[in-house]
Amino acid sequence: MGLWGCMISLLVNAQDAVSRPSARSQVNGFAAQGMVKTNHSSYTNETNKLSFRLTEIGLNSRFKINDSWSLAGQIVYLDVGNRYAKGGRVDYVFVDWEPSLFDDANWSFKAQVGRVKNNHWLYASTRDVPHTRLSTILPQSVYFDGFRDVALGSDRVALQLVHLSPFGTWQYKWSYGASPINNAQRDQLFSPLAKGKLSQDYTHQMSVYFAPNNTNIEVGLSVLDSDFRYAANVAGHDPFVNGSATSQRVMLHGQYFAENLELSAEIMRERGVFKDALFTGFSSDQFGDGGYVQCRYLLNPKHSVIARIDLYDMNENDRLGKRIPLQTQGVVPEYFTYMDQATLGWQWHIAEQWQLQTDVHLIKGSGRLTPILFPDPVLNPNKYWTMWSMQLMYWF
Amino acid sequence: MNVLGLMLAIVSLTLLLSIHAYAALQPSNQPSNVQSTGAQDRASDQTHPPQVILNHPTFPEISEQFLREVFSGKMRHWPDGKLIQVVVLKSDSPLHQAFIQLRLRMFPYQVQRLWNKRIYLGRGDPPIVVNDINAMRAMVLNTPGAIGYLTPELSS
Repeated sequence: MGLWGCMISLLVNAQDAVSRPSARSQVNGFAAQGMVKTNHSSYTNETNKLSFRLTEIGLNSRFKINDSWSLAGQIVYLDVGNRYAKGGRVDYVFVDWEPSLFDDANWSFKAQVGRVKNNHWLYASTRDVPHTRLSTILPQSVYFDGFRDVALGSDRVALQLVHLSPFGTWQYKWSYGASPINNAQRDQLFSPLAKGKLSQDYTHQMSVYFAPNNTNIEVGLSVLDSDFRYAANVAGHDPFVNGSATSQRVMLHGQYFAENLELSAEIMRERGVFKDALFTGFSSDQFGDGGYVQCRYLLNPKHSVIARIDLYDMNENDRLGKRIPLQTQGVVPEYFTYMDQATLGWQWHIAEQWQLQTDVHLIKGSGRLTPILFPDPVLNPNKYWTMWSMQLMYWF
Repeated sequence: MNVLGLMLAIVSLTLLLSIHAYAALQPSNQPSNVQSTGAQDRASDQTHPPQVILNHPTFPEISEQFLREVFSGKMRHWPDGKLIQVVVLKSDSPLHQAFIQLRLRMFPYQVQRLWNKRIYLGRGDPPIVVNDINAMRAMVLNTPGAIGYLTPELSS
């Protein structure tokens, strides 16, 4: 409630500032509506019929207190079917401090406190801002929709240091905090049968990026460590028990820009540790990995095409998922342990601030569907499935 | 598929692209699609690139790297602590495109992407966008800490 109050105050204070460039307040926003159709998958809906649940609306404001201090916030309304919980969110709201600490043009420092978005991965911070993405749906190996709310933003402290060295520009980023998890998000992440409280103890992230001088290349390395806790609701006949989970991830990032060509790639290795929760004595500790390479080619200033390969294996010691049917008495097929995806897309920049985007996805495996711990082979009966989407977007 | 294979492919690709990027940014291979459209908002060429103008007398020299990060939104203060106010022409202006390609050695869509990220992440004020070079000159002259660009003949 407090975050919503902060956000409303920001927007009220900024309401007369739209498009006045030198004003102390800025208001920006976006709205996008699309349609999506899947075959043989519950990724977006259970019926596999054409769905219009591809709505993303956001409004943000930034209020400049002085040359060093600012307040910023954004509210969003998201409805993207089964991908993550529908509804409004305070996406971020924070105090931004960017002092001039160094008597040197080669250094810059910034600190943020509040609900701050993850700025450690290439597309994490703007994954809900449609016109900043290259496709309607991001590569799921890295940007798993089921983790959207816990991976995207949290109540945290974030620091950033930029250094212009003789060899190129370095960016160092650090953040520490925790994401609130409501019951809808619990159901998506854990199980719809859960009645207890799922919470995140902390998420700790660091990253370093380097852009060599005289090139349009940027490379980066990031790490993440996060702990979760599940408190069972014994009085509410919760089928689960108290438990904990740890998620750790190491990622490499790379981007290259040319006049008509843009390449980006990210690869990651992650560790998931689960204790109890499903039943007393349950224990699991496994490493998964994945990544993507994508290419955007600008045909002209208005049209561009996108191609991407995205690979994901949930367990690097069982890439084909042969153990899963054995462990579940044949209930869960092997294709719930991986998800490989080929994507082709097209972007049409219709006019200033208007864009149409469409993607076709060919997918093998269902390893990135929610809920994670309870795969549904009835709604996802095939190893191979397809998805098509189109989205019209406007921003200001 | 083993992610190690993917990693090796990416590293190889990055090396190839580094070589390509280095070659592409040598003076003889500068982007050449910038066109002149008239005296008022005329794009510059490689021998007469757009000139930087600024309203901040205490900063003696601007490196290409600093300039690039200022117009990318990463560096937001002058060394004396004064806030930098970036002023740009509209994105379809030939002079704007020439400035980005010839002075920043970047591409217009790349710079736009960086600003979009900052704006929708709440991390910075967007640049002031002006309609023509007269407005550019006036805005920079009247805004302490401002930085912009003009054609070489007008900047003098």
